[in-house]
Amino acid sequence: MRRLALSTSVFMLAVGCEATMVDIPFDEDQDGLLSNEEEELGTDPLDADSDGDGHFDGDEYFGGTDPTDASDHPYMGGYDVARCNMDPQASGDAAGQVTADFALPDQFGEDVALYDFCQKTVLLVTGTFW
Amino acid sequence: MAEAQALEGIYQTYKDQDFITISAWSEDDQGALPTTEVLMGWANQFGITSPVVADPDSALYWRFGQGGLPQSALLGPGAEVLKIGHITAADIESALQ
Repeated sequence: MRRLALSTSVFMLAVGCEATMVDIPFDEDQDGLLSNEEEELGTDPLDADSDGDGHFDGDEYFGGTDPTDASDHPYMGGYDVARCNMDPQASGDAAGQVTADFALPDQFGEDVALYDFCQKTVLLVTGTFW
Repeated sequence: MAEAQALEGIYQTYKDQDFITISAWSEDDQGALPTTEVLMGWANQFGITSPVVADPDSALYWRFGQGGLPQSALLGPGAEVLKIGHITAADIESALQ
């Protein structure tokens, strides 16, 4: 999700007969995050891809991945990541138990991890090609 | 073929309700572990837009141990196993409530 970038951070506002300088945060590197948001997240406000993993900081932030960690980025397939705050504690594979995580390569060559969809309901279909 | 298209239909029907499908294949039509290209070809052939992964040694298949082909497991939030075997639309809708 991109936001309209402002061409300058400083606006002159006319208040009555006075002019007031107001510093407005803007998206200088066009990555979808405002400069004050980048400061809070620890990303570089002048680098659209702070961790150099090929994904814009804003895409990572809004996609639920860490824009400061090159190993953590949105899936090329566009699947929405929905991790839990803490990894589940695996207890078994029978109904009512919590199954363990896995990471297997998908059709884009990226490892897909089950726990990346921890907040979702998952229909898992396994076998050989139909 | 019908099952593959049905799988995508299920994904499209429920994907906006925190739902996703993952297909895991241990063998291609030659009996080999599917490569990235083969997985992509299968996904494109049937218009699959959810993850299609390779399952070396059928480890994921045997994890749920029912023996059918294909085999399905419905997992709830937190990776809780809800049901193994024949998964119906009613099962999915119940899980999403």
